[in-house]
Amino acid sequence: MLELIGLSLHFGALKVLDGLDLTVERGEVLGVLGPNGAGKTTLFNVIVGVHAPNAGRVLFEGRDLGAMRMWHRCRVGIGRTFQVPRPFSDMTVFDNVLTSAVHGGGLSLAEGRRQAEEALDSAGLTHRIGQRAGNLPLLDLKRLELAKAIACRPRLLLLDEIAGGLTDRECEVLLGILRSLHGQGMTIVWIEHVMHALRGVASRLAVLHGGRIISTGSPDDVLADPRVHEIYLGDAAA
Amino acid sequence: MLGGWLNQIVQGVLLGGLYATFAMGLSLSVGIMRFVNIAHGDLIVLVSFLILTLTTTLGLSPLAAVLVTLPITFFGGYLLQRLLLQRVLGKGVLPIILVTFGLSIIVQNGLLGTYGADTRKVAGGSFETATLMLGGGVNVGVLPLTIFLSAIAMVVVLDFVLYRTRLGARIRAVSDDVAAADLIGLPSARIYATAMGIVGVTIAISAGFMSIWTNFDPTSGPSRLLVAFEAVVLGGLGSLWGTLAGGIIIGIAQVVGAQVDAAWQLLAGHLVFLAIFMLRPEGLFPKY
Repeated sequence: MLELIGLSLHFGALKVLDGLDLTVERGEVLGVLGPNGAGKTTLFNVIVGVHAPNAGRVLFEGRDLGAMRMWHRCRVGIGRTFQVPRPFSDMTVFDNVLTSAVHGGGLSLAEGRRQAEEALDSAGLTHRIGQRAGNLPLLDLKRLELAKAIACRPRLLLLDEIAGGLTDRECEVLLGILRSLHGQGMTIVWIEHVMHALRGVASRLAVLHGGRIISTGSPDDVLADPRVHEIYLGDAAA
Repeated sequence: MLGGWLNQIVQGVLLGGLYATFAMGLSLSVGIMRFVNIAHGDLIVLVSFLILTLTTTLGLSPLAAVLVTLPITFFGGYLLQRLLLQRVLGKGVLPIILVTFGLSIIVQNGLLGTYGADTRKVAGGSFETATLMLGGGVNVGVLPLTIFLSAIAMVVVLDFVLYRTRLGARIRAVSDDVAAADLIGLPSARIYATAMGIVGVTIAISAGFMSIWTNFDPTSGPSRLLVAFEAVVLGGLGSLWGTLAGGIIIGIAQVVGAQVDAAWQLLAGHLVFLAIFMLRPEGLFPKY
């Protein structure tokens, strides 16, 4: 579904992505790990068009996204959440999601309302529907990020540390939502530091370090990989 | 004596309506796109000259001339944003100030070269001089009253568009967070351009009123910008009703200042602005 071929990106002398190759299969949940500064969020930024890579290609369903603008990438089926929630603070929760459904999902207003209601239901946010988004607590802000992304009807959903800062119980709620989305056939790429959350739903892991994928495979295999131990725990662990 | 002061305050409120029409477009620029268009006053003067040309060369009535300019200013605003302002938006405070300052100079010199330095005015006929006697020494000009009611109507319509329509939801989303809006499929550059088109429409309306009520010349823009800027800041960034209130406060201050001494008219407006700004720098009804 998604192919990243030789992606490189540097900010001045700093190489953030360095010839990165990665393939995401349709219907899988891929967890992306890596220490801080490994380039995980930058990778998402390149996929959705925030940054143009200095080299390499992003293919989505066989189509080279090239210079396609950010809003267009959403409309062709790529949804994304932010690590720090970015709601439209002044709008109600429902209007946030409705705006996503109508514009990102390409729906009429009536269809958009239905889609927004479904997305809010999927994200477990119906109890906040009329509230101002800027007033939500953290868990509900994360749910709103998710609902906005789902409302765009993406085929590929990119989640950026959506479990960060949540309690174990809140994390379980979130996992239930993600399992349900995966059950509906959605392909998910999930950057996360909360390992138990990632293992609860990811079928494959990829570890990013120094702008490259250094290990990929089943969660058990990747977590047993000495190179992964080394980057997280230092030479002594290897 | 009391009737005289009451009449002056009523005249100040009505003058505030004109100032609010100047400020409405600037309030949208600041509130939505988060930049101060230094050329805002010059664009009002530019459209005033366009209206003058339409009335004198084609013989159109002022109302017909304003109606003709509405689509022109909408597309003018759209293209100005798309082709020029969008290129420097989001690249820091200085580039947008320099670009709009340059635009201001170009407009002023273009008008000087085309129309000369003479002061102009559009003839409004009997509409301009008609007066309603309300009793108690209070007289209200039909033109200022129309302008004031139009200013209220502009706020109501713009408030409706921004908070009750899909276009408004798009504009507010992009204004709130450009990247987040892009990522839910909103083409922010196009939406900003549409918002600037709406600013263009408000400029046409304010230019129509200004060209009938007051004299103008190619260098009048900066003084219009100053009043508009004061009204926006006094009202609080992002609040259209606040902008109307800001315009009214400056209008009243100017008229009352002129009542004390004619030389105090403009200074009184600026002093009241400064006093309120010092006490409440966020403005009276801020949204941001």
